[in-house]
Amino acid sequence: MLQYIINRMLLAVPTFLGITVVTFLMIHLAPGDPLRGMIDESMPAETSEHTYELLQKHFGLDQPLHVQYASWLKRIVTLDFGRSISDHRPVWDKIRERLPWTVGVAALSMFFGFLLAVPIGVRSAVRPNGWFDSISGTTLYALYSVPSYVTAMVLIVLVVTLPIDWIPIRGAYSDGFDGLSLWGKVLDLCKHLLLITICFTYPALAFQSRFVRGNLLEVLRQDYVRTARAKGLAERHVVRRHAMRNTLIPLVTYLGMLFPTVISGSAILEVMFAWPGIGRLMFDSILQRDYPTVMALSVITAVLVQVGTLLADVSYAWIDPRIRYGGGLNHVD
Amino acid sequence: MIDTRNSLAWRRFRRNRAACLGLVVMVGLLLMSALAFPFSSRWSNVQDLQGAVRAAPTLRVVTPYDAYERALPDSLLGAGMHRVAGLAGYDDLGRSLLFRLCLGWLVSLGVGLGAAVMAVVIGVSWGATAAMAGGRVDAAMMRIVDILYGLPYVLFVILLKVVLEPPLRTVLHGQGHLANVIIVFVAIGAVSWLTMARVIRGQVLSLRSRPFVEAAYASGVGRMRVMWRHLLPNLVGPIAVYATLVIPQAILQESFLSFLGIGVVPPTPSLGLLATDGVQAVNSFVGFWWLIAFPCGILVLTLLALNFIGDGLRDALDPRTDAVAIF
Repeated sequence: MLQYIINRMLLAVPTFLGITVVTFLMIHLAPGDPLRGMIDESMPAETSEHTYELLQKHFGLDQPLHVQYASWLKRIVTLDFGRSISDHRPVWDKIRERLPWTVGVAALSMFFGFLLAVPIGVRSAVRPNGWFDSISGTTLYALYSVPSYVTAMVLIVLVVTLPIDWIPIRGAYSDGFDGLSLWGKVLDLCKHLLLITICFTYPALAFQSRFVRGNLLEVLRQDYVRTARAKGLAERHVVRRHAMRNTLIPLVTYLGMLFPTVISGSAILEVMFAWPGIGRLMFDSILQRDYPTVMALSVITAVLVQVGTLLADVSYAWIDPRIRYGGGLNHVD
Repeated sequence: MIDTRNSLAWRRFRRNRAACLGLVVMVGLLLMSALAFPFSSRWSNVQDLQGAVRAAPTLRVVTPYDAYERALPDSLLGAGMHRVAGLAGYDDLGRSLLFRLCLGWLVSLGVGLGAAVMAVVIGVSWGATAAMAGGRVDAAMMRIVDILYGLPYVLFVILLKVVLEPPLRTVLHGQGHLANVIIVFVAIGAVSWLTMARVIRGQVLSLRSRPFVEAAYASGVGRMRVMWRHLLPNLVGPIAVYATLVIPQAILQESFLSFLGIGVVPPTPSLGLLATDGVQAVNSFVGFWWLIAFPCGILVLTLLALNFIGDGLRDALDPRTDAVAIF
């Protein structure tokens, strides 16, 4: 097992390097650069050119690309993400203050998603192709086809036109947030979370409930379930005690795959709701060509993807003793 | 043999009511926009800043015929098209939303089909080659897929746009709209083949060790021929299913990109762009519901229809996956 984990980590190194090299090249080769915007337009051409060169030297952008990449890599090994070019703050601070907003919404939507998805999925699996299964299946599939940003638009338009004044459509908290009492703060946050959480939750709900249903159906076909029924156990007991537990295994893979997306957020929803999350930070940084921030975010995502899949695979073997990872690399994937 | 299998699949597909409905919707939309194409391609940018700015949906003729085009021969179809120009209302520049929708739907579908073709061509050959080669080649090829999966997508699209657009423009003799749409094709296609490659690799890996493949090798058939004659026919099911599922994903992706301002460039319409325009109009002036309702409605309808078709195809072509399939 340890050998397997080590092998997987070794395998992840070239992937990680590849992702960073290509991202580095892409962001640096993309036209436009972060420095031009900093220079005062009214300066005489000579002075501004001089300032530009000074700035380039200051951020190390005057060196050839491979030198820049090497020094970036050297710093990243010591977990130094550098300073943002656009506002000179440490990149890690910028990410840290955005992180809770993105993770919070993701956690909430996962919680509500499963809260609804598990009963729906179980109900549909117990009587596959029955009336509940067909209705919920079709409805959820229809919902799944509605892009979340379309829903966001519709919700925003509804709130504005009706008008429902107490639901805010932009930002994560009100202007006078610091002056509110604790209860007032919680209420304010909940109000701001309402719309964005809905938009995050319903596509996941559609997916998760079908996921639960599919897995449960698969388990209910197994021999041991037939044995449990033959023993004369109540159907409810069979489903809850015997079948449900084994549906947890695929769930682990799903959560492992979800892990990176939870952290990286959704650029489009965060832009629409002016939500101060990671997705919007990435989008803004790309537009501003803020090289260190873009690189930091893509490194974090790349690492999380690798960690997520590895965690999923390892816990897979841990939960299900039938799965053994021996034999080195051949068994990967 | 193949024939009976196909007719069986077709029968299974027809039994799936949602999939059939999806097919009917798609054929209907296709007929409509194809019929309107000669007009929508010319008229989708004609503005009527006097009479029609943000005019509500109407059966009345708002913009006189000669505003659209004097040069176009006075055909019966043209006259009919002109009469329905106001059916879905007009946008802030006084352009007929109906024509823009008809053209935008074709653009979006084109993006989807382009992505599907790229997914099939690149994904299948990549995945199959990796699986057949095995060993280091396989590992290296799959690492490349992993890397592409891990790239920040928005950045990738911006770069493609910037690098490819100028040369494409010169090749296409200044046809800016076409160059732009092609880049969106490439950008979406470039990531759409990754899943296909993984799926096909898995399938080939499991097929490779089957007795019939060994039998083929034993009787002296070469690698390429085994691939083409023995493996590929067995992959038709998954290929068809994934290709159909790529189309709605690509349409959705195009609409995301257009929404973020890095997709199809106006004035070429696409469903995503029309929806975005609608939001901006509604955000500033409440009450122009048709500008948001029609583009979003058509987008959702198209995605739904395509997803249901893909679902029906999966059930029809691969009945074993019935219970495990999530959708």
